[in-house]
Amino acid sequence: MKSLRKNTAKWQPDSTLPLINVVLLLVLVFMIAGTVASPLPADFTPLQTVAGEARDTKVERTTITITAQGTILMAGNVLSEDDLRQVFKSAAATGGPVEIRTDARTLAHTVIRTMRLAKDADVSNIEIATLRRSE
Amino acid sequence: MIVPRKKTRIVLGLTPLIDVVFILLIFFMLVSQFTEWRKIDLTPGATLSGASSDTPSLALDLLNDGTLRVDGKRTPVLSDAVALITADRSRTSIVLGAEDQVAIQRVVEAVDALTAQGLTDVQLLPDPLETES
Repeated sequence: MKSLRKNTAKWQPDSTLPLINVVLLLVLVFMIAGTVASPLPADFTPLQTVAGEARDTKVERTTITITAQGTILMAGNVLSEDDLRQVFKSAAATGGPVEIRTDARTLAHTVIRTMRLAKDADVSNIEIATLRRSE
Repeated sequence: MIVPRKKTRIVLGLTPLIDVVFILLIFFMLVSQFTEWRKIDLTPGATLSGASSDTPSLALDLLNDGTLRVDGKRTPVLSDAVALITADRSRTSIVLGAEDQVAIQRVVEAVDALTAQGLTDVQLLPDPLETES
């Protein structure tokens, strides 16, 4: 008996193509709009200020992070005080700014002591990194 | 005799492409940050405005119990302390000190409040204040 069903199989564009388009667009958005983040500790609470100036993102800077417990990190590695002095000395030699990203709960004197070490190593430009707090 | 070649249709496999694109997407989602970091200048032993201060100064102390002290006079909240400071028009230079258990966020909030009143001549004490007994 002859089949009554017509052969309707036609070539159709793959239904995954719009999905790929959307995902590629997302990739582009993340590549263009986002900046690659330097690692921050898991429970890091950034300092928040109302004041504060925009920083020049094109300048090469030495970034150190101070955790709430007072541990000093650079690119995820713990620094001793001697390591820190070396880091500040090389930052002073290049002339670039030193950026301190400190947890909001860190004791003020841990941060001040770190700034003094930087100053003693002749670092002329010390920046405290903050996020803008809306009033 | 020439045997005609059988035409084979090449099917483009999209699955590996999708896999790669998804991996790229996850990578960029994880490493990207959209937070805009800003900067403040807090240098111990130097005024925030960068100018050397010859004017007589007021002492603003941040204490461990959350209170503040303006020239020895205790106040519970920052706004009162700032009001006391702004009331004294003769002294616009402020020496900001903190006890040993004060968090940096409190220091920054104090600087924020002073800067909002136009008081940029703030000097940060390099050593912790002696804790009150």
